[in-house]
Amino acid sequence: MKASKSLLSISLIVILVMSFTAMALAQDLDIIPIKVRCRAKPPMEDWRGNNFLVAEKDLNADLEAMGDLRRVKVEVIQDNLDWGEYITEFVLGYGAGESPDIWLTGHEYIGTQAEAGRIIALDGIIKEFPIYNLVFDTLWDCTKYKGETWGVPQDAEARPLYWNKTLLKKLGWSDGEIAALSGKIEKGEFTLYDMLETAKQAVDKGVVEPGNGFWTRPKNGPDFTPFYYAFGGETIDSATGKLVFDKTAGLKYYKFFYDAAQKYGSMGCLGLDWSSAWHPGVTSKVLFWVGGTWQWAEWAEKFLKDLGGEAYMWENFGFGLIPAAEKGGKPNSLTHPLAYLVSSQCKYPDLAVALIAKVTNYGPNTRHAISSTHLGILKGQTEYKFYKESRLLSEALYMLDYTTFLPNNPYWGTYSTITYEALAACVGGDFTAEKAVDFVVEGLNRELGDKVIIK
Amino acid sequence: MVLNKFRLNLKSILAYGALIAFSMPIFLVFLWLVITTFSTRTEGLESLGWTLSNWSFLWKSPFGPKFQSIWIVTLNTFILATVMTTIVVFVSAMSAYALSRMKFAGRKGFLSATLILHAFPSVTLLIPIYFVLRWITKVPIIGQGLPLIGGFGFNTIGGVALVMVAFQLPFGIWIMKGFFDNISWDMERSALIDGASRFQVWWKILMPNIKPGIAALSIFAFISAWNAYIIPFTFTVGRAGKSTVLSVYIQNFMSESVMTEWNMVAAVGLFQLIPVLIFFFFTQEALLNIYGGGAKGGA
Repeated sequence: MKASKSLLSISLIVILVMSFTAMALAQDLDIIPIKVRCRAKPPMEDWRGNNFLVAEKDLNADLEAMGDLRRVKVEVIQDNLDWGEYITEFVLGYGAGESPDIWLTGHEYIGTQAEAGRIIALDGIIKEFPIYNLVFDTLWDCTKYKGETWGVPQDAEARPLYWNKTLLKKLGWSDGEIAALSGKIEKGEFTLYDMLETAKQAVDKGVVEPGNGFWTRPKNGPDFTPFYYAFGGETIDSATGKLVFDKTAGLKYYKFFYDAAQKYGSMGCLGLDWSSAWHPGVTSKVLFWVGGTWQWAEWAEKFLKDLGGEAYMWENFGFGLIPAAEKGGKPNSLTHPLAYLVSSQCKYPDLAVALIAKVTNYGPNTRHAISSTHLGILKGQTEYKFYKESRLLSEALYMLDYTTFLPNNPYWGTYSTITYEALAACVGGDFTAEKAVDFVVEGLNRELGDKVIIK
Repeated sequence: MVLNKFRLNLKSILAYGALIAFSMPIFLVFLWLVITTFSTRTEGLESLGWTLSNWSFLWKSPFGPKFQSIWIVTLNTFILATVMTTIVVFVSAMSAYALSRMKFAGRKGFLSATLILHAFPSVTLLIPIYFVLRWITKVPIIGQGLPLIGGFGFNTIGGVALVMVAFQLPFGIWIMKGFFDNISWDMERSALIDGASRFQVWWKILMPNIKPGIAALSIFAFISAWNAYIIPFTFTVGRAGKSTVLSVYIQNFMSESVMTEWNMVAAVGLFQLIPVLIFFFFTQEALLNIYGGGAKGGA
């Protein structure tokens, strides 16, 4: 009886000592919550945030190995909020001291957020992670503002001109002609007006309904800017960093859209609802349309799954660059990279940047690229085994050689709205090209004053 | 006699017929809703294939395993509705009693002011409310450190509840004042003569007499909180964040740029409706008494 009592006492003492030791060890560890906020269309783009959950273990192992007592605990908030609401949420959250540590957003918002002091410049920290040297230099340019780097590129894409092969065949095109189209566009042999002519023929012959010859996105957004660039337009003055509107290019740009809608049976797309009208439209009854590579995954996963998904799309859709404005001219595309930014409220920016470094690698980035059909951002990624196996990513990659970008300027939103309002009025037949240019010049002068250069 | 009976029956038949005819559109809409949630596709009221997959959000997140579970979101919504309802009923009852029974300077002005406050659409006050919540967020513990409701600051259930209470109170005060006004003053005077305090009178004598009012206000407040969208959406982070409620969560199914699966939206909508229906079913009698008084025949 006495012996068992002693044994019990010893056991209790051992348990107590072990518990205190474990508690002491545990208290030494500093658990640091890192909140990551991403916008992603489920399920295609889930890796934008989910990659951080994988990276958490990896980074904690690194910290443990080097004797750092800090450990990160990642919280991912990820949904498909509309961009305007998403930006507002960040601004409101920041004001209340509740901003995420890592915030994924379009690179064009960097200027505004940097000016407001809500994000930090990363030049000093990213130097300590050589993995960042793998990112394409042109993508780094997108995250620069006033000479400093404010974000890490997350993905890239091309915005191709798509066409419906079946409808082209109905119009009398041979398989060979259809297959050669992307090459002709690349060489500048098939121009924007050639495309409109083809669209008009399709309308005249009843292959497509009036308005369905050529479509753009239904609302304001980056897809219109490469057309302005195609006509020789520029958006930013590299010397001063100010926005630029070129009246000569603007005139041609607005004339193109006026003609498209009024003379060539196209542009019956503005104002349509994305999911109930635009996506079903372009995937069935439109001859040419401008979209993004990421939409390839959406169509395969959501809109054309019943018809065979990607296999059906390879059989029925083709794509190429946005044609040049004139014969022999240079075609283009537009990349709108998203970037991970670090909030100025983040208490441990070194850990945030270390986490971003973990997801900026071949494995994690390729996972996202394949599932969302975004283009890779890393040098040599095309040689990465799993990346190579995606046909779309491989076939669309050459477009990055022709890509253009939106400017990083805090007033881009105003500029974009005014120029789009004029475009919508041209498409609706309310403005001629001349009137549209006058409207834009007057609007930009009124809203932005000397923050914009009118050429 | 026979003719009278026939007339009575004819009257009833006509009345029921009219009621059924007018109720049919509402009934058909709900019937369609239920059929849709269990169908792959529908043509009118006809199901083109039965399925349970539209209800799969109950056992797995439709947006991946790391997405907030519907049950957590439902719990958040329930906590929000309960907290808001409790505060609205208590504060409304206390202030309505004072406004109904006591004379003090500014009483009329206060009543008018509450009515004016009720006229403000919540959207117009979002920015000032944000500044208030931002200030509360920085108060230790109260701002962000309370269990269950998170606190009363930005991105907390308590914060959203607080804002919604402010919007609901004018309505609550006026409703409750009406009930207090209908209770006989003699009953209260007898209690005061017997030595009861004002608080005892309010709690022990008057409150039991305005139970229909309490029930009605509770239902209105609960439904209002359960279905609230603009305030939770504006003052919480993410459609799937820690403080997300059902009305905000349902937006995940209806993004602008991704195909909307309407059958699943209908299922989530019906799921959101169920607690309100249950609540309404058990309290409908009280709800119908909202324009009546507690004690009849009072002065």
